[in-house]
Amino acid sequence: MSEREASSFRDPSGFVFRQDGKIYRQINHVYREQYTQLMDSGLYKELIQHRLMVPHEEADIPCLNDAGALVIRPKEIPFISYPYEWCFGQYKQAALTTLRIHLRALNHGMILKDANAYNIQFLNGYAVLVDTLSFEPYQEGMPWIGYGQFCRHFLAPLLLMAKVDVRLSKLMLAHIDGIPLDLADSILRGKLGTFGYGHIRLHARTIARHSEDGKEQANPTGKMASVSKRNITAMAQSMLHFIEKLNPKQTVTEWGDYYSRTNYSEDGTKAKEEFVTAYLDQIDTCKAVWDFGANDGRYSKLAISKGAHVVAFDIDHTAVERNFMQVSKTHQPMLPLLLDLATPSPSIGFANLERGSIDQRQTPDAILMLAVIHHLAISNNLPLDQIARWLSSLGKHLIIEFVPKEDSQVQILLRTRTDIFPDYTEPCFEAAFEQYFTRLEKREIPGSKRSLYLFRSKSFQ
Amino acid sequence: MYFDPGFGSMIVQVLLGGLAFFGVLFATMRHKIAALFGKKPKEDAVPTEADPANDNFEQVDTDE
Repeated sequence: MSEREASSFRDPSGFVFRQDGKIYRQINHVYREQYTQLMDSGLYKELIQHRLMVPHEEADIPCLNDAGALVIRPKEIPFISYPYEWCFGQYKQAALTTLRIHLRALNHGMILKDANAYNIQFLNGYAVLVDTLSFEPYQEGMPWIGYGQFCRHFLAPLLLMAKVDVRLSKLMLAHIDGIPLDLADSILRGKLGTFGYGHIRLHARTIARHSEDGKEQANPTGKMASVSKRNITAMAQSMLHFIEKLNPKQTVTEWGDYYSRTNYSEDGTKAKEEFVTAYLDQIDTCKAVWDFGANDGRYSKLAISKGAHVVAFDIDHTAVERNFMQVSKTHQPMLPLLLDLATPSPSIGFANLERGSIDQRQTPDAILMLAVIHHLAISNNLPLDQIARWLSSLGKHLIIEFVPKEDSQVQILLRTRTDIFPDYTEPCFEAAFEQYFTRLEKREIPGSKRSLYLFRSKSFQ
Repeated sequence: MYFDPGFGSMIVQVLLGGLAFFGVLFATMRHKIAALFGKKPKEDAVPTEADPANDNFEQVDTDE
């Protein structure tokens, strides 16, 4: 049974499909020559050595249609992520990977034909290009066709995040082909600097000034402007240097005691870790885990030690940034991502199919949701049974901590709002969740009034 | 209004590519002059990004 990926339809060079649970890419005859050049020029080997591109092997299975020349099997990316879910450090790494590939391609007589942020994915802390069909043979004088896209997909979001606010990466949700440069220019007013002035403002104004050029009969051959290889290389190098040094004003450097403030005694923390470990052991297959509200990734690491790949979601940019800094050093199987549980990433793009919502991308074996429920139920007024229903539709198992009203963390939340939550009690929590889950275990966390549950979703039985 | 932004991006590359080249030329000359006075040049423009750790990165099939 073969199924084409919904997002893989723009490029005539080939497409991605899934067969028997494995991911493949068909390379069409029209791209055969370019693929051979990528492999034979030494470029592919170099990109793999430097951890810049996803490795693949040629697969011994037939093409899905007559246009196909061969099929390759790329290494599977455990969880597909999108730019609006990346912290600044991830976004920066993705941009640097794109430029480094571009420069290395030029050295091998090829050029990166697009600079799409969605072509970059994270594999154990490495930002890698996943589109093997992104290369064209380079001809002297040809400009970098991906330059405009690089500015919209990488440079504009990075400048907005660094100079204005890290939350502006969310603009990528509204603009699937990158942030329009005139929009970036209007937000960055006064903060562009010389570099931004050239690549954003001048670029935006030149685009507007030459918007009608394509209609002119004076250019019937569609002849392109000529840029020397020397100049393309220098421009990419200057962008690389600029982005390497680019950081938001309040740069996160290392773990301090930022997240060490918890509501537990030392015994409580230790017990909670033991309980989570014991629950994870009870789950037969535990390869894919989501950690909602991952904080410093303490519990994510427990799942990693059991052999799982963990997506460590958090609403807090700093938490994601710190986790990413760690993963980019240790290369553990963890992907930190930004996510607001009250508004999880929607599906966007053509026919709302190109970039999936989180539940369309993976069904985790287990979800960890520790010390989060009170934020959803009390800060966001979300009814317990609706939270339970949603969680049961996402993953097979749920390890969840109930934080009762008497807990000081909940008291802090209630200090500034009227208590309109009479149903926020442990019995009501259990009743709500047992509609959608089978309870496998419950343990009380010593030194607190909190309880830890292991549930199995009824949707996946 | 719909227009193809490709033309503008090409034109701006001609200009900024030229400027970048002179920037790189200037930086290279400055380093050469600094080297005459015994200053060590900085790392290569495209640094090595690889981690030498055995991370199973190149292994495609992770099923087994």
